[in-house]
Amino acid sequence: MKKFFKTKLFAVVCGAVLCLPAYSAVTTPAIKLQSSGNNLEVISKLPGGDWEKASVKMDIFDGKSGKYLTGKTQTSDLQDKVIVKFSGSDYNCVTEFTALGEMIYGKMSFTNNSKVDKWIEPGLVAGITFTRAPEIFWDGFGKMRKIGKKPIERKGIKGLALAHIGAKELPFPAAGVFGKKSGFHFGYKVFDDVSYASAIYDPAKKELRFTQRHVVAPGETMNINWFIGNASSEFGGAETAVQQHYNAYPERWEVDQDAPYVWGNGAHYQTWKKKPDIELMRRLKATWDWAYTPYKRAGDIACREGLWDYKMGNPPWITKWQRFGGKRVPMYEISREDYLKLRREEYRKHGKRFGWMFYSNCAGTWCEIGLAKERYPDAISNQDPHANHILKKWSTWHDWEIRVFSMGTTFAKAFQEDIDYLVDDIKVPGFAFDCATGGVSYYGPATKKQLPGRAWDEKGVFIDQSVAVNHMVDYIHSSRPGTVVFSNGQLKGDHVMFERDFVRVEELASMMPLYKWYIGARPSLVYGSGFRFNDVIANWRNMSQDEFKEAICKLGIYEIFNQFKYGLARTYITQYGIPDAVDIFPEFFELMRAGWRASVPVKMEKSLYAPYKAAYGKNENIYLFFGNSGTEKTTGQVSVINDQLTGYSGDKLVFVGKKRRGHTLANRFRGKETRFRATLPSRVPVLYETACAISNAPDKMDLLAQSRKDINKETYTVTIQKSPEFTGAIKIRARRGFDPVLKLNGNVIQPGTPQNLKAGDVITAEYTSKVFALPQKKILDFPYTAKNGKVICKVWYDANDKDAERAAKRFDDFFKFLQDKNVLKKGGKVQFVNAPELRGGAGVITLDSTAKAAKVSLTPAGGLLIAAPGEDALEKTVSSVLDIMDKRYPYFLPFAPCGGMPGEVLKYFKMTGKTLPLNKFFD
Amino acid sequence: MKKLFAFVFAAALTGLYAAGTECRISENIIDKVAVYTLDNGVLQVKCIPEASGLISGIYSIPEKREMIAPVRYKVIVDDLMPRRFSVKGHSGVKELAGGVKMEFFNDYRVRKKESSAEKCVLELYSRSYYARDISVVKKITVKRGEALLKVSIDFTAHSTLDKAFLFWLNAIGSMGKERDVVLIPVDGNIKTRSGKGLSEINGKRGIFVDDLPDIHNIYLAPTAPWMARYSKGRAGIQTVVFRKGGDDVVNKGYFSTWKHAQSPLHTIEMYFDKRQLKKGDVWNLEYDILYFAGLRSLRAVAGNYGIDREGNTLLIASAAPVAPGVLKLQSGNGAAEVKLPELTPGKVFKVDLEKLMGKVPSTLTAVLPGDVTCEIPEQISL
Repeated sequence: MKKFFKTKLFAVVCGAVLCLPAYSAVTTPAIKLQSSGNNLEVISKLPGGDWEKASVKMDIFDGKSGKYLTGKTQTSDLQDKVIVKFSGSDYNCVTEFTALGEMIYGKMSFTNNSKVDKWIEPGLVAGITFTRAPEIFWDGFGKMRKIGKKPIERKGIKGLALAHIGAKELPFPAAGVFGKKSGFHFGYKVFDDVSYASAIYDPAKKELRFTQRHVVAPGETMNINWFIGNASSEFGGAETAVQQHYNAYPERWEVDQDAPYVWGNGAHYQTWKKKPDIELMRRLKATWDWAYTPYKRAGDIACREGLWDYKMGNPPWITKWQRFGGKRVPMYEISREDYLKLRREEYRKHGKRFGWMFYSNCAGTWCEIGLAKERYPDAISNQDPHANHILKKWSTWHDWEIRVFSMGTTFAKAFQEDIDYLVDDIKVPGFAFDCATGGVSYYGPATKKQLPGRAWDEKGVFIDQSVAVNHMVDYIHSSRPGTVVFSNGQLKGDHVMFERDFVRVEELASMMPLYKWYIGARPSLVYGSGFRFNDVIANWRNMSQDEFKEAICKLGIYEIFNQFKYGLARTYITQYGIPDAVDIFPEFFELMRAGWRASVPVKMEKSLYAPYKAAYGKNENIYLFFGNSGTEKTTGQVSVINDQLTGYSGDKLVFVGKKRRGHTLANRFRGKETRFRATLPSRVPVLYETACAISNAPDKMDLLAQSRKDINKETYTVTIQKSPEFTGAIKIRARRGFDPVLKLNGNVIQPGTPQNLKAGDVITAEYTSKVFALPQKKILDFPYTAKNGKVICKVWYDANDKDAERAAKRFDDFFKFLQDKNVLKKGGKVQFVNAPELRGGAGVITLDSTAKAAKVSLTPAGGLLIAAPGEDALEKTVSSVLDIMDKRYPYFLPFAPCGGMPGEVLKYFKMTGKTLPLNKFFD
Repeated sequence: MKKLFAFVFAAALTGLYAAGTECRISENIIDKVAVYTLDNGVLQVKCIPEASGLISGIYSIPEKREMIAPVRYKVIVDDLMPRRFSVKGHSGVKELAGGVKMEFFNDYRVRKKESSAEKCVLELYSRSYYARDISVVKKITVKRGEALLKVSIDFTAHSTLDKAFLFWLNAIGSMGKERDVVLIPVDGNIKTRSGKGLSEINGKRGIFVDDLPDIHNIYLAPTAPWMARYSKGRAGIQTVVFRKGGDDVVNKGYFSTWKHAQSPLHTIEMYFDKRQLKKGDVWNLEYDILYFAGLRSLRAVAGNYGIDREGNTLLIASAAPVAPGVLKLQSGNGAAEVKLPELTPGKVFKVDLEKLMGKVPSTLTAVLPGDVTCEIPEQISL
């Protein structure tokens, strides 16, 4: 068998070239697919690229016979679609090629009409005509490989091993060859059920082959996705190809903007191991926490009857790992009943409010070894020779755990039942999927079932662990809608954790950008050991306090710059003592919500120094970030390549600096570029946002963009200064929480409708807040405290409105916190009043949880009205008012011992309780 | 007691080990990093102070043999991060502390360079040892004509440490192109050490030979304070021996040998028990790295002697010149004495045990000149 695989299986012979008639054509802005004699032909539409055209053949290798399938072909030439049918005596294969974004999308359906499993390896093979020989082979992983004289390949989907868990990095589902200007790439959709894919480039033949392996059951019709792409390599060929994937099917990365918990920082055990503090969490914008192993035995997250008492593999129990909201749980003594009662009570009290993400058997991939052997033997995954299968003292810290497979097995069934039970019974708001990674093959009995993702190799039929994890995430979403999944890994999930530190430069370079390519537009965060000060500056005892301040200030900026570069939220361990790290929250979360982009198609004048840069958003909703890490301010021209940023929509973008009060920026359209002069101060994050996008704009056009902002209203004005007259459409950004109105010379127009435009025209986008019906100053000036700093705040709510009562407490928490921190003098406290005549009164904050929509406004008498529908919405709206009040009562959490910053260091430099200065980067 | 039946085998290399060259230290800036070379005419030892005082090269001049794989490093000079020494793949010998990631280094400064005809000493100093409130003096010494280098580590605690301090040595030599074979004197009856569960070797006691082809991380309790390595294709044994602190590591510490994936490197690690240092405490450790040029394996280290056994032949070499003396052997069958000739690095003295003592059991004890005693055990494997 082994010999057969070496000699025949991987031989590149084309036994079944599919024949097509002429004149079929599918066109995207970057590439055109058409028939050419007996072949498919793709033609580059990017001028000046490194390749002109390529013949594309399809073939299907039969893994059992070791031969390519042969049969009849039939093609259909339809409008914007090419259909290729290929059939034999016991199978039928139909592939439909259409345009999807900038790429050609091939949807293949393979039906097995035989009575046995078919082991197939369909592939696309491109013979490429280059104008310049390609230099780089991208195998899907993060590092580019130089093309030499010999064939270069990637077989399978297993990359570098990740830590001790034996899982592997997965390649992005694509591969290609790139020259200096452009490249050709193949791919399939991210998170497709693919357990094996390969890519080979033969420089002698100038041939790129890309395949997937599948096992198709008798009677099964399997859908297989393909992409054919052409990407400019001016700003990174792989980056541009990844961006084309984002543009083509964004739904695989999209997370509901209204999903709870996911759009914030992590609490990093502050609410799980300690008593939760809602005011502290508001200040840290921590919306969720990692609720670590709230059960006794790996594989039994429900703590089922009959499984509680068992012989542990590695006693003693380490009690410190068992806490609910700071409560230590004596696991040796506690009975199952008492434990379940405690867990239920704590979860119902805090779980939803603090976003306790229930840690669950890693990602359903590990189970206590005795339990797995006794109850779930079919799920044991221990046959992959390239991974470890048993870990001692692993997730629960007191057992031996064995790798299990959570799809189509008895374990999967039990795990799904447990998930449903936990959501229903203890109101779990979401699940933490640790080690949500793949790269480990399961060869167990479930592979005999008709499960997704089955592939084959010399050992037989297998499924990659990643397929099971992805399907478990899908299960949670479908079984209990609204339940979120936090993943620590590259796979599916509503929020993705990058469990590393920015300061571990080598690891960062090794894992990025591949890891982030997988995360894409999803919310995500970096979660590790913070500054690792003892490691990064091991000889800190040689430093003075000033040198420490300089070093920590630079490290703080380093974290901020990397946060914007990769779009990763952080946790308090790199925020304490560094006010700027907290001050950037609003802008950062706005960018994160817009969606991180893989490619930053921006040219900068040499005089500009910005080693850190990033782009977010899409179409007319674009943000740019630049970070000058040098010591001097730099100034120069930025040229934005609109085609690449907008997916060749033809729109040209107008930018303005992203500042809290407003900004003015002169833009020039030159050809397809937007140009503006940028000033990048030393070690300051600089952001730009689109003021509008204009279609059909002439090659030369000068515009002046201005923004003016308050919490209740934002106005973006673009004045056309120089331009020939033309007809174009204007699009404006969507602003979350605002209703937009677009005006041209004062007249309301519909975005995207053709308009006659000329020099002197004024485009105005006015955004009115859906929530705030008053300017910020009114909130800041409200009489919460007397001149002497004594709290005199009055909060009114209806005595029967329990939701308002809870929200009212937030003001009490707010002022008590400030008094505790000596920002305000002690003594006064918030007065809660319920008398009907005080509702809406002057100087009174009135809370109402019965409103139809969230609203913050002034009452006729001069009171502050905060209204919202229900408990959660009202509390959220109160939080947004408190966020504004922070400006009047500024307080930033000072340096304190935490992960990566030992108390010994702070004590040595006398920095405990102190903060660095606040720079207010965006004011 | 039987007496003196032996013969001397002078390795072909012996003549190359003439100790005529004077010792010297040189400094070179290589890729922005200061690299010091200590040369005693037999060995050229490279040290990078900035990288935890890493021993980055041990070169046998007579054999033209490098015994550490090249350290591929760069210095990361970043606008925002402190200057960082960064390696791609780990190699060389360095001391570490519990919890320190391999990619981070302690930055030593050169405090003294001494060089004379007879020896050279490089003295390094750091105010803290991997951020702990411990100052450390690291001294590397080579003496003329010796195939060994001495490293002394002197810790001084400046305050009482909050946590017990775990010291360990990471030694990644490379004796050939293929992955080295590693030798460890172990007691397989010991199941845990310093809280660490040890690997199972079925209660065997002897010289564990790690020639396992696959990925294995092995943790074992030592019976002697040394670990050694060799390449199958070529004679010559590189040995790391703790002198000061040797008893501690044998009685309370554990040794580790591990390899990663397809890497040809084979790491050895020597872990001490956690130590609670109080303000003013001083802790001295000393280890030697010896090279026994003519040996193909190793059963024991005694002083500067390395002893191996091939069937009924005992092989004795020395990493430093030694005067003639008497070797006493003791086994279950009785005792014997052998006159040892003068030994210099590269020379191997062979004893035919059967002729000397009759049928000799697998384990015997030797007393070498200078009254150093050692056990010569059998080899074991998993």
